[in-house]
Amino acid sequence: MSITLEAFSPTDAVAIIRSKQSLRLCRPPYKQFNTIKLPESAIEDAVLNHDFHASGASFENWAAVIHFLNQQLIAYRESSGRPVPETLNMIEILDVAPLTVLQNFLKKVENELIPQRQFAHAKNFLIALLKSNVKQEYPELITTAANLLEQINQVEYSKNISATVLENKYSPFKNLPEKANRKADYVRKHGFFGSLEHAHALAS
Amino acid sequence: MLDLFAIATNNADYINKTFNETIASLSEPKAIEAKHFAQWVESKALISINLRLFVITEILNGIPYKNIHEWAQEQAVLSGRNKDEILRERLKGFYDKRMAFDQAFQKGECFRYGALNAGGFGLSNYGLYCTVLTHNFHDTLNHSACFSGDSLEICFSKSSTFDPTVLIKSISPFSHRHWLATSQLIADIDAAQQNDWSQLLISTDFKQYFEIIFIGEVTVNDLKCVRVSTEEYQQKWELAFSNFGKSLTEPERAEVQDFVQLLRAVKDGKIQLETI
Repeated sequence: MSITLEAFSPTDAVAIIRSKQSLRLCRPPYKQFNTIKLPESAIEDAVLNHDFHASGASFENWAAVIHFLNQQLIAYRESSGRPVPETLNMIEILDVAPLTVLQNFLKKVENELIPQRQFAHAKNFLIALLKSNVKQEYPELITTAANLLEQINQVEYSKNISATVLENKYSPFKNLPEKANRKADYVRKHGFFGSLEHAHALAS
Repeated sequence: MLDLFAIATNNADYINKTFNETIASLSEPKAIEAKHFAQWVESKALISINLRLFVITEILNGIPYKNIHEWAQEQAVLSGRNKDEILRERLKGFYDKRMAFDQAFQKGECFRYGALNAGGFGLSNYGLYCTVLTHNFHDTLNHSACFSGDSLEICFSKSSTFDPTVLIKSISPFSHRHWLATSQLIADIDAAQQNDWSQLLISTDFKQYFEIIFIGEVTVNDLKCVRVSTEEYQQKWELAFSNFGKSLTEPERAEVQDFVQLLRAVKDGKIQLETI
């Protein structure tokens, strides 16, 4: 498959791409939903009126196009004296967020991240929020953030407790002789299908 | 070489006459509505330029907005290469058209392009961030002109060779923009609700709009506001939020970095952000 890069913008890696005879405007992260079909006249319009760079380069696959666009963006920003940062300052992001955005983020933590057990994502956000200047500007959000952190801790704590209980459930096996332990391992791997006495009987 | 702004000034009487004739041909209620529209354009419509977020952050950092010639000149200084070579490399097959237009007019390489805008996102097909310039900015412009459509398309419409005849006939001084717009849009004004008048100046398919050509530096003090769609605004925040859970790609990090800088300027009161 050949893909032609007709024009691109090195400042934001947006591209006009021709693939399978179709001309499309593609923006990062270059997903199908993120592309817009364009007429042929769009290339000229984009280059002459909208700061695109004309290209015409051909690529074997999408990965190669995206790699090229990323390299162009990195080089352009470096030459402009504003290189792409290795990481983004999380606290800085939250410091400029309006109240409604912060409230939406907190709702997402509560309704999406915690139920989906995406605890690292949730905790990164909540800890950054607690460290940010949000506490001075919107103190009411801090109580919500602290409650959500507590909720995550409780879920994680109860998960650890369950793991300990499960471990203890099989603790009788620890005292069995070596040969018996191998049989007990079998039970651990393949499921406990009888009573504890049955397991001991198997082990002896 | 043609003096675009002198041509526009010479057309002032013709633009005024056309407006008066248009009004005279209408029934009284329609004439009142048309005059109302003209007043609305005069008071509400400003110059807008659709830019990339990166360019807006450059302006916020004190770097004036550059046209393609100024950009190429800067690249030439940085790289030690020839400016023309850089332009050819960037424009490729479109180089001749750009040069034919820019070199036909006095100071053509200093031209900047905007659109007449009284609400909405401007010509947002490629630049999602619509930068609206202040009243004070256009009041102090010495060189500005307005006409209906895309200057390049108008001058190359009949063949691939440059023909400015239509442009020369129709171009108006910026001061007469409201009369030009009213005369051009007269068939649509009556049918449209006043709330939709901004879409008459720039149609949603970008086929109808009024281009503004001007000479003048655009700095942070000239920005009245930046308009962006609520969808784009929310997408940027989604991206920023996802940064707490995964590492973003280079373009994504660059976008969030620019967005945060814009929001910082909004918070510091340097610029207004309007989401629609």
